[in-house]
Amino acid sequence: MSAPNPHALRPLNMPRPLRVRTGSGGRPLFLHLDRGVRRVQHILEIWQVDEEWWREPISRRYARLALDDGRIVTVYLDLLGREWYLQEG
Amino acid sequence: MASLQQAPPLLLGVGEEKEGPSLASPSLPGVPGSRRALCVWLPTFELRLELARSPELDATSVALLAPGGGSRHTVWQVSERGAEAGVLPGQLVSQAVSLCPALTLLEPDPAHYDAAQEEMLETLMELSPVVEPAGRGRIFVGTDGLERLHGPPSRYPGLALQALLGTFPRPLVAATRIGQASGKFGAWVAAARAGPGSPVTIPDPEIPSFLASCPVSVLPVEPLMVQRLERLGITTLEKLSSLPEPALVSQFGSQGRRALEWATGRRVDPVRPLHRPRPIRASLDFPSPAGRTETLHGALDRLLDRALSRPARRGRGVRGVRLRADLEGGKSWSMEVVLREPTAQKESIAFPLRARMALSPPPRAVERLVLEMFRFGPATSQPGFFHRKEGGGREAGGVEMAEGAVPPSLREAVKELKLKLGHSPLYRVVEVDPWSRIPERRHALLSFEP
Repeated sequence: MSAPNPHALRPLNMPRPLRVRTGSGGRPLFLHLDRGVRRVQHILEIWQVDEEWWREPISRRYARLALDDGRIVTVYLDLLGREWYLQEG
Repeated sequence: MASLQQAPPLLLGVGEEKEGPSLASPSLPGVPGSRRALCVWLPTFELRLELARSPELDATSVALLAPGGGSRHTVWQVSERGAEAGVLPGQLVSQAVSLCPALTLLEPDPAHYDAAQEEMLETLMELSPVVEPAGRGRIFVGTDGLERLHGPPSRYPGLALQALLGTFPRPLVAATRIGQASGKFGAWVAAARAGPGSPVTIPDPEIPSFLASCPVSVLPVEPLMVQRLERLGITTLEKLSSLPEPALVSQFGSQGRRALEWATGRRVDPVRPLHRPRPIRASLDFPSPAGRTETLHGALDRLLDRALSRPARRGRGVRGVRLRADLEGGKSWSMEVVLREPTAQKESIAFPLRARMALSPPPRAVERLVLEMFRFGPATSQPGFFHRKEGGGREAGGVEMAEGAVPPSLREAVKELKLKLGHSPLYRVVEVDPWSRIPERRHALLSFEP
């Protein structure tokens, strides 16, 4: 394994791709997590981030979700690539 | 042919340090220099480098913007076509564009110019080991004792141009001016009088008569002194030479005496071999271009931590620091700070760097930040009078440690791991852009190398 570049910063909290089953209006209903499929019980909060339109535009719709096992997770839908990601907000 | 008035001022590094291109570069103390000097000068070095990089601009009106202009951008260097249209160095960009609407404006790329200057130095070192830079695009080569190696001195200008041709594009070398004389002052005045490709060599007996016709503005003295001389009607070195030394000393002090010595050709400043202490560099690559001041300040702090903890730095205080950035889009930015006294205290180095950065921040987002400590002095053991130890210090083995200090045991452990694995497997979490709306940009891991 090659040694990592010691001068480079390694970002933390990188988003991880996530499979999400959605319902009407694109609402997340089920998340395919490592430990199986979990049902979304509540959508606690939704917010959108639009940044850097001058460079490589970033457009994300974040959602903080309460799952059926009691966990709280943050996911977002990449509005440009139309793909879901898991990330701590 | 370049007139002497167009040439940038030459400072021979006597007395206090001054702004502008200077010969006050660190040279080996006590080492005798070379009396015979060759001055290699490429006027508007930076603009010519830009034109060599983009030859399609060669026949157009081009102006290079002054570095660090803040919000008031001014013109630094102008191509011949631009000058014909009335654009002058020092003009505001708005004025320049109104005079020449077709003017192409180029942002400066200091890292590129510094790299070219280094290349020029290295190339001329093939001719002689005694080379001394005097600002970008101007280098003195000591030519004493080269006869057995290169033949008679008349061959040296040609050899210098030939060496440069091996490294630089032909148009750049063709614009180079070379002067040869005893002492740096004579060589410089000869180079400023020389045409591109037509070197000027001044034999010793002819130096006084050659200098006599030169204007007083060629003297490497304070501009105020030149202005006063001109107001008094002393416009040439010949007129200056006719004045009695006591009168000049009473008017201008030791500067007056030196001016007289230069004007008469009595003073010969030898070319001294450049002493370049190995710089200490630390760099940081941003995962995504960083534009916020807080992010850059945070990165600067981390670079200072790393550079100051290098074994090569220990026992020495830092006197000169350069901060360089690779910008988004391919250009670069740099600034330099020379401290009043050598220091190993992070805050004493960071403060002037931050202040300079606030005055002329990088014009675009930064992809890579490089800190270079290039000048050193004896470490000051005495802490500043106003330096008070902050609370929250830690302890290691019963000894109180300063904030940010690394316990020796941890240092040893990391050293061993590095020997075994080839890199440090330890990281620390650092703030990159804590207020970013993009979560992965807020914090990052940085290799822990105490």
